[in-house]
Amino acid sequence: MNLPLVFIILPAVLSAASLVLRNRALYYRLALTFITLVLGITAFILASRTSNGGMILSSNESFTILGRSLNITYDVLPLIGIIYLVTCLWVASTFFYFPNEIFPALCVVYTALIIASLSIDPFLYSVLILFLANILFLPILSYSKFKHIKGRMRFLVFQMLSVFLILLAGWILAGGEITPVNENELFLSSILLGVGIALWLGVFPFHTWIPLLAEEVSFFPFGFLLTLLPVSGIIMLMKFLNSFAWLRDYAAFYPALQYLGAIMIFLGGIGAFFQKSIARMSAYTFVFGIGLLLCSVGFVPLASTDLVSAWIFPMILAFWSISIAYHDIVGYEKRQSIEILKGKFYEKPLHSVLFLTGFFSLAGIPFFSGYPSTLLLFSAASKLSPIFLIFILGGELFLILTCVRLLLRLSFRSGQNLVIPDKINIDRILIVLVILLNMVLGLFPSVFYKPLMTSIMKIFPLI
Amino acid sequence: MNDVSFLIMVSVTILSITTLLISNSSQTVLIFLGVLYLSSFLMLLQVWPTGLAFVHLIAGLLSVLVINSLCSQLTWQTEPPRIAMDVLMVVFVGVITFAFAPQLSVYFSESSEFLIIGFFLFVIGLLQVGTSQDAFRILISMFIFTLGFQILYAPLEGSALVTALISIIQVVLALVGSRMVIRNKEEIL
Repeated sequence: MNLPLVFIILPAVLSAASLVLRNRALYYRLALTFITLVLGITAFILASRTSNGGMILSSNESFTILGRSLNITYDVLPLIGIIYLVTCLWVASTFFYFPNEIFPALCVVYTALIIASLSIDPFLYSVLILFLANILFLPILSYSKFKHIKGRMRFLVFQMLSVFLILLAGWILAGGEITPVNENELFLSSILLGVGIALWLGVFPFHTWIPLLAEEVSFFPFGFLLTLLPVSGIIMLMKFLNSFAWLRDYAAFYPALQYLGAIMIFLGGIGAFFQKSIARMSAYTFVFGIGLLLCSVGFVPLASTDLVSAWIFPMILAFWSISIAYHDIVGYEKRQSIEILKGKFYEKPLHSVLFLTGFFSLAGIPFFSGYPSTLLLFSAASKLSPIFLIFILGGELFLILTCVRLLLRLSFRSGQNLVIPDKINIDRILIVLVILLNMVLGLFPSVFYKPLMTSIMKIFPLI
Repeated sequence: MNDVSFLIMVSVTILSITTLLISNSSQTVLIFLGVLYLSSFLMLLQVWPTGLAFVHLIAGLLSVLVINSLCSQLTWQTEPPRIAMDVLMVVFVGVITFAFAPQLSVYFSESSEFLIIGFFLFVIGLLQVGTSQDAFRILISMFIFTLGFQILYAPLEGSALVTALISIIQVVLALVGSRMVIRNKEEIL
């Protein structure tokens, strides 16, 4: 058994082969859901067996391709398991929400490429793999009535520029493994890396592609893209920090991350509150989520890996909830004004609740998954400059006000009565399970967050 | 690279870029993009094995063909102020490049010829991406700045995997990008 073969090559090949079945929608989607579920569970089982020491595994961890290798260590398996389970959730949602026949297969290919980017050695090449995954995903994003392409073009340009900047920065830093990097080289590589990562993640002032893209593409695949893209970007950033001691010791790097993250949180909150378009409002909420992750990385050595781990689950659940609910409530409407949410609670109560829970999680409302993570973030931020707290609190406050605004729109009564359906659709069960999971994570955070924290600390022991 | 061949390379690059920017037909643009790929191939032959340089050339020409198959009928109106701005941009970037690019050799251990041509294409592509309104021009500019990056990066890293990945990215970008451009044009028409 070869781990890269099992978790990268095999799913990519199987998902490509499954396209033959795409006309039989049920079997096709069922097969892909099953594959991702099995891969997710297998990753957890293998990780637990090796950590317990109860089983000696003889599987190979490396796969050579064109002179370079894909390496999957047992420490990374829990993270891979989570990524596959997230994909499984999205693929399972396509049974009910997004009829595009290529999307489920492409989801799996995209996930396999993300995992390839995590495991490629040297890891500088990971940006190229991620960029390839993003370009492959673009036709699916374009599956909508909107023909203007300004956002998509900007997305492509920013991502491409970031790839080149990160590769150049990586080359300079990699040279430092042989000879010490001088101050000028370190400064240049930090600038290149910083701008590259900022373009990649849509950090202020390069965030404009996110709301622009949200307005002109299908929201369902956009949500999937923005769930995995920041996670992969943040992991790439942490890999850089873990690998290069010069970067870790560079005094200006961490405050820069904290400031950028805090500004993104503030910008995301204030941006979401003042939008009239629901697509842009949701997109700014995504900006808020990315800011939380970025800010979390900057708290080295206080709580960096802990904070990132604590925000991964709430972000994944929030982005899924917002995307699914948006897709059901707004659909492919060209008119995306917030006015169309009026009274939707009476028409589509469950999806309205799901939409709100997505916002609640990121805003850190008690009893939702983001609450413990917000407390952890505040406790870490309070030990630093009060400016961070002001920015973060400001962003949180505006996001909470956005939640109130949404709540008022959704519950606006215009002569409608609450519609209780005669029979329960299966998709409702999935939605209820996710809402419950969101609340369970908020009530018992240590059950889920602790194992992830331990796993991420093992992957990046030097941060 | 001796001085004469460097001069020829620079001339071909500047003339191709200028023609490409002031042309009003997609086919002319694509022909000169092909010329740029050919000249970059000759440059890369000096630092890469022939096979790897061929992969770069074939991927580039394939991208040109893919774009041509979808966007060959595109034409647009060129306006004198825009042409003047593009020519000025080439001159401005050319001067800046000749003045400053060789100094980058402090950071990147490569010859100044590669730095000058690579940096020139990279910056021209980037400026065009930023200033163009037309989707087709943005797409072509992305190829120009990818080409600039490849020339800058080639002496630093001669990895088969990187070349393969960039080649795949180029071809996929050509396919996806030109489809988006055509769809966008259909809506405008």
